[in-house]
Amino acid sequence: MKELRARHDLTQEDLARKVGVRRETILFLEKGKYNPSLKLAHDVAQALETSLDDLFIFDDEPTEKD
Amino acid sequence: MNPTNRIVLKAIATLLLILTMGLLGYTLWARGKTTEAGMAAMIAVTVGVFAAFALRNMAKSTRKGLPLEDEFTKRAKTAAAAFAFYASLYWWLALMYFQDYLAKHQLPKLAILGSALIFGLRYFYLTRRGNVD
Repeated sequence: MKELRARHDLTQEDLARKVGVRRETILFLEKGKYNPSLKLAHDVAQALETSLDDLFIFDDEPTEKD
Repeated sequence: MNPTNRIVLKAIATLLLILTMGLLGYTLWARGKTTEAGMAAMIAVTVGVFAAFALRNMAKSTRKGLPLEDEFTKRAKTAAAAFAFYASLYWWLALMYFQDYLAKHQLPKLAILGSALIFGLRYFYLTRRGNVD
């Protein structure tokens, strides 16, 4: 996400403004700390002119059952 | 609601809280209860300092065209509230255990202050850490 943002020459603040969230939300998304809603993920992907699949990787944490 | 109006409303609410605590502190001081008056003053100052920082950040965000609240802060608030509810149960249990050593009129104040503090600290922690799940 950071890479794509840089390619579009956008700062975290610019991207936050584009998708209508706080700058910290973009920061935590880039660090992989925050799991966004489907709507936010979609909005970010659209702002960066890419698809959801290319931008986010679904990584299900292994449970004890696994 | 317009973000500027929201900031003004929050500033007024904070000012009212500080004034109330100040008035309470003064009344207690006039009655000779200096320790409790000091506590009220401390709360007023703490709220004032935190509110000043928070309101400044809100004004900055509004000027930059960024929202004051988004899905992340809403989720953090919900998670902090849930945590505060469970943690408060233990806090109230502790107060019940120590009620013989405390004045009766102090118990509700301590219960409310404790719960508010737990919520505030948890919200602060979650919004700094980023993981609200």
